[in-house]
Amino acid sequence: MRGPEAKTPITRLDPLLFGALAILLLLHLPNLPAWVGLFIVQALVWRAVHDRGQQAGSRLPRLPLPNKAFLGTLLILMSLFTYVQFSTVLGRDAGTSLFVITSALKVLETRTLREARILALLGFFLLLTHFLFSQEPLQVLLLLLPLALLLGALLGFGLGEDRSLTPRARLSLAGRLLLPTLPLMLALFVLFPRPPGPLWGVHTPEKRAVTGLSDHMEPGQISRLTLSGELAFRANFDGPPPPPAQRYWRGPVLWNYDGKRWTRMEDGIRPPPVEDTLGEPLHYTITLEPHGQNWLFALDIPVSVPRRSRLTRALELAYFMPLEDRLRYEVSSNPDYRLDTELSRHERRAATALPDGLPRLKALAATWRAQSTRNSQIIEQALQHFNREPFRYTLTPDTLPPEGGMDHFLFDTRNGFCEHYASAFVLLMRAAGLPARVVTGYLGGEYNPDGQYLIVRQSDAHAWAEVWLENEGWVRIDPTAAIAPNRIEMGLAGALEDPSLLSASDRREPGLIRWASLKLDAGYNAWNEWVLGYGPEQQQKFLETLGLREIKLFSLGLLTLLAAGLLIAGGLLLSRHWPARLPRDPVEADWQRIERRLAHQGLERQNGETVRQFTQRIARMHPHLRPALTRTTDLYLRLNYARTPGASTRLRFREAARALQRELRLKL
Amino acid sequence: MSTLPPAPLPTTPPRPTTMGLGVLGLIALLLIGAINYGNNLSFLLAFLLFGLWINSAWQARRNLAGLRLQAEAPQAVFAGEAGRLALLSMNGPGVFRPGIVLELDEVTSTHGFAAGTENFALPLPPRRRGLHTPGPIRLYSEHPFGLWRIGALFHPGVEWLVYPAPRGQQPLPTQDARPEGARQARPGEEEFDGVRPYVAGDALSHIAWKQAGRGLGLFTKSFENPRQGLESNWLDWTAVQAGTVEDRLSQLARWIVDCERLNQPYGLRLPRLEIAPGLGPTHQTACLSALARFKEG
Repeated sequence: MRGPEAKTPITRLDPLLFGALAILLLLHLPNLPAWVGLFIVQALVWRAVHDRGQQAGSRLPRLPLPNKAFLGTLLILMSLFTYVQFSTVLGRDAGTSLFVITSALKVLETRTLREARILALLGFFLLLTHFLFSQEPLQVLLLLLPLALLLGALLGFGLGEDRSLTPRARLSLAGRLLLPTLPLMLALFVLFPRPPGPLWGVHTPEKRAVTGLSDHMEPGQISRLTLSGELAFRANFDGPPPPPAQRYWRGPVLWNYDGKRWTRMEDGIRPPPVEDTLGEPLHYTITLEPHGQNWLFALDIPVSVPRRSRLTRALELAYFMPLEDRLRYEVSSNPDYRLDTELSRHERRAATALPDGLPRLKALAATWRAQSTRNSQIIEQALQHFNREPFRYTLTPDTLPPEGGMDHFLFDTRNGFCEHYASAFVLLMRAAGLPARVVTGYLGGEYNPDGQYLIVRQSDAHAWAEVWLENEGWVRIDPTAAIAPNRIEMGLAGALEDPSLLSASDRREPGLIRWASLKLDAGYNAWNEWVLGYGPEQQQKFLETLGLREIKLFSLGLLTLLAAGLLIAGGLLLSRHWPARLPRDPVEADWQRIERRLAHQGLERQNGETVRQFTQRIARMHPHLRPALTRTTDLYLRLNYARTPGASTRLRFREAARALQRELRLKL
Repeated sequence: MSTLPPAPLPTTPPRPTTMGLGVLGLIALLLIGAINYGNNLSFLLAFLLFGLWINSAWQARRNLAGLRLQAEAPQAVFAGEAGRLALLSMNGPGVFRPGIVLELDEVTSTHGFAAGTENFALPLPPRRRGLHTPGPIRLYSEHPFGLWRIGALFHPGVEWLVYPAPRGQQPLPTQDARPEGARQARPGEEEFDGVRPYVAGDALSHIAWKQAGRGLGLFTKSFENPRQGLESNWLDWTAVQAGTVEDRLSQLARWIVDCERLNQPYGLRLPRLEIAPGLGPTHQTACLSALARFKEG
């Protein structure tokens, strides 16, 4: 039976199937080159016009489908174009482009039932290609529509020649049939063994514009970054979040200065420094947005190392590759610490190196050095200097000349952003003989009571200094605090003279918009935490809470299969006594709607009054309804009482019932 | 026909269809993609389809399990004509079974069974002369989603007579071959003979109310009233010029149909069987049935 049935020709595609594919293909338009988009649109229009022309009474010209040779040639040409465009046929972009082209060609090619089934399978795979581009909740919500349409189309395949269900009835039936599968889906999602890495190395990072801290610092760089209201990361704490003064999120540590730009010092594979930590560490989970660099952020100072990353000598967390996808990691930090009481010769040299020039800066440092007996006094003098002199904290500092920029800043312009102050402070310390370095990262974060986590945005980007003191190790000094103390406690908006440059969410003005944006952000956070972030570690943790601490991937797989098998067996046993139910016969539903509408107008069927008597009574009262009423009643009675109502009676009843309802809606 | 409701049809275990295997393959591909890209939404999609796949197995079974069918004896037809097997489906209240394919003698048709009882008919393809027992009917369903196929066999348990096709050019024997042998019916006597479908104009007192009450439709009881005083033709097996058995039977059938058309009473004489002359639908049925059941030797 399969063979001939599968080759059944179909003149037009199931509207549900066509709709699903049209949405799936069109949603790819922004992800693909324009010529692919143009081709998709043309293919879809061709098929739509063809299918429309097949309908009886259509005024559109009969448009034939293209022949296979033409489509084959197109496929070869398009594949070549794709290769020329991407220089590969692998990877996410080129692969999707090829797959989309193939699917669009298949839409044009489909002439048999079997091909239509293949088309539906392609549709499901198209969903996956969408997930590779975006997993945002809104996008996923949008994709639920083609998914529902595909399931409705699948249901149509199961019905064969039975055309009694309208596309809409198929959709709602598919929805009802889907409900009992959801528990199994969730169970599999939670329990299915998650291998920790990719199966093969196809994960080629795709180029995309990302914002975030880079591994160097120049004047103006961080202030530009802070203008973006974009999210940097979210941090969920096991307990209450730390106070604002401790919210220093450590990023790249910069040692080398060439007169304009601060850069990192490669530290090879030397082990992280020995540190003494005091007090209780904080445990928290960070969901980091992709920023194209390999930095992970953690509060000062991290005491644990997330998976696939390492701790550098300067206590930076480095991921094994540049971050192209959102990453969720757990980390612990200890705010009370004593770091690196021993400084190697190499490090001391790097931490005290000074560029040529900067005579005024060096002279100022020398006077402090001469006046101080202890190193900590030098630091104090510097901070007092920043506080006393008319320094301004601004997002729009004056541009500095390429030569001796820091001299100009300290003595002439005296306005700048955190990178200026951190840079000048570190140079002053070095000139006074103290080892010092710049630390970049984020300071602060907005607490979202919905979901209890901190939102850290690019506008929280910050730079501060670390000074090395004998017996104390590296000590964090934030010169910005001396100029704009509010920056630490109240965030950027509270510290700037003119916060209007900042985005709305960064100004932190109370109000409905802020409340709504916090709610929305909490939703995103939950989505990231429960859907996107569920991985091998979360699975392990979940299994441990179930008491399955020692379970192996293999036995987990067996367990999953066993559960699925039990479900089949149990369902089969039950199904004998549990026939399929449709809550309402569509004919009866239509009739009930008509009676309800009449009752609404005060026309109710009396006790003991037959359908025929009832409608005749109404027809006498409202003669204009008579034709529609009689026709509908005749068909309704025929469907209910005739020996063989005839195949088309259902459809004709439906049309008549709809027409009657329209008339009833108009007037009585 | 038994008055007890028929038992629900026994069903075969569900078997995955080609599409079902295709979806399984798709799930595997989605899983590979999901693992490779660490993409949780693809995991969800794969598991959604897998849940659908698993649940479809027993949902498919639900669609067929519990259906009760009952067949009516189909009306006799001439060889070469298609027949009609009337069936009655009994379904629980509120139960809906769409997309059930019924296959009888390699002819398929698709039905959606609504709640309650429902009459429908399957075409019976033309068969050779004789007594046939149509069936079994193969039922199968791929609802929902077309991933699993579940089947059932239904034995209608009814007989279907196929008369020989009326064929042959031999002239109707007009001579009353054996007038003295014709039995004379006693005047005024009518014999209950059977039922035939109701035709407008039949006397109400002759309607078979018992059958009507069972929902089988209207039938009229027919009574044989041997015509008197008319000359009767004897349609004799030996009078047919030699040919194959089927040719001879076809010729006899031709003559019976012709006699009926000419309103000419006739008797039928076969080896080991003789039907007294008569006229009318009941007589015709009796004669044609005799031809249909005829076995040589």
